[in-house]
Amino acid sequence: MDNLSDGRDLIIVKDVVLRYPMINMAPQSLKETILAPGKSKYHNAKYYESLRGVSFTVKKGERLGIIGRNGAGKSSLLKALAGIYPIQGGEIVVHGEVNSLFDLNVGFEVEESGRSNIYHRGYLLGYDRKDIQKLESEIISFAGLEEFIDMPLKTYSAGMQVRLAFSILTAMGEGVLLLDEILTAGDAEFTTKARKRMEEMIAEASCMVYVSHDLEVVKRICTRVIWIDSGLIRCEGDAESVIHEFLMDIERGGRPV
Amino acid sequence: MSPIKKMNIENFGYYLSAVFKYRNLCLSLARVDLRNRFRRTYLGILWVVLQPFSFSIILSIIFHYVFEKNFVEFSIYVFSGIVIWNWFSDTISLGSISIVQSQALIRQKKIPMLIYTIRFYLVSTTSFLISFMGLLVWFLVTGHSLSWTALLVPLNILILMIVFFPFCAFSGIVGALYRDYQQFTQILLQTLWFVSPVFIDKTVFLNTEVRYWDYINPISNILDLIRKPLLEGSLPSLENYLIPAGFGLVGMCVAYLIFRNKEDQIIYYL
Repeated sequence: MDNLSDGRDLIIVKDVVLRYPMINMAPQSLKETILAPGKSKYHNAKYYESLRGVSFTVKKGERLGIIGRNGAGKSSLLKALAGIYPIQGGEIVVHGEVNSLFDLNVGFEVEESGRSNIYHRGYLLGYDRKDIQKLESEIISFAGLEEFIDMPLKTYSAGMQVRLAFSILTAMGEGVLLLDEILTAGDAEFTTKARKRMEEMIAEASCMVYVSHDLEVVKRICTRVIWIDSGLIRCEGDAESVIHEFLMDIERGGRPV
Repeated sequence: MSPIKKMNIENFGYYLSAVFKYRNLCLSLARVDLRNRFRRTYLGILWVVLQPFSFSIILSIIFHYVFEKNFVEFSIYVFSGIVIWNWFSDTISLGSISIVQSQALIRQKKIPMLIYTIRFYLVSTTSFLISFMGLLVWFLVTGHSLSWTALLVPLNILILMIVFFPFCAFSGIVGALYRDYQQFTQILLQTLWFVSPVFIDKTVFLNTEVRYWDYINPISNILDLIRKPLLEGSLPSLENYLIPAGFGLVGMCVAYLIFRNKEDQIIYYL
């Protein structure tokens, strides 16, 4: 990472097409597969065109915001960048380790203690035991869970789980950061703390892509914004002007954000 | 601009290095799964031994009175059969839920899915090794001694580990693609249990028309790989090695093809 000079493209997205097969909408059993050989469920499914030719780049040090209406393809784009959704057309190149924050408190082991879950998350993010040990106490104190950390996660309130998840991920977020609407976590006191921490983390990351409906936050932390509408880039530029365009469109169309 | 390698088993070396990178996650999840299996039971992991042991004892008592079997000899025969059978059957049934059970993690970060199948494979294999120790204790406690052929047992277990793993791996992907797979394998396993010499005396098969089946039945050969050197003090035959090896090789090819063609699409089936 160190040999990369500022200004180099860390994320390159070229003509990306993402067709999301709606497999759950078109269930197919083993019987149907046997009776119709050669036609797999995947190829039979109806598709939802989530992204229809999207191109952009993110340079080192850039913080790209992605805005748009519900179902416009923002989250699909982020998951495609993370490599979780395979794309059907175009190309995505990401230089560096991808760290993503998608569902904050999903994937915890509920029978295990908070401490043990710190390790699981750390391992998932590609850290080894020693690195996690160094971060452990800081994570616990930021989450404010000193008394509860050795209790099973199922005894935690929803807010406590979110606090723990947030603390882990922000302590370990490095490289290419992909974030999906995470500032709505925890109570008011924690939210303030969390905002500050996230801004610190963003400053340390080599670049970031942030999906959010909170336009104020996007305006404050993002250096550039892309507005996605029905799987296409509608508008791209500095945060101020793109958000203005977006709000104008909502006023005209009257559809909720 | 260098093209980024796709994380697919096609790029074999790259894929395996990624698996190695996340080995801690895998080990740690397997440990949790083992703990969860017997959480809040008084006897804990001991159940891994007690379950097959008590079943063997009960079966031996029944067979002793009904078929006049020698109680001790038969209990060792059945115990060894069940311990090995459970390993195979756990490997398949845990394998078939491995990807579906790991979906929360799969949605968070792109890492090789083979990790999640190894996670469950470690659970079934650790359980087997513990219950195998129980078998060894029972064998010695009942006044038997090990012959020099028992030296082959660790090697044969190692071979079986390699033979079993691909079945765990592809069951994970197939189990996610077709949820029917779990039900289907249960029936298959139940059938296999009754047509293999797990608790039924091997001579029963050899004296009937199904003896050809017994020669090619992988389970029968797998059982011989452990029973012959450990219990009988004899060497396994060549086909005892070749048939499981062929079985494993087919499994490996199937697993490779399924991972190569289906791993990327799994996310849409979860």
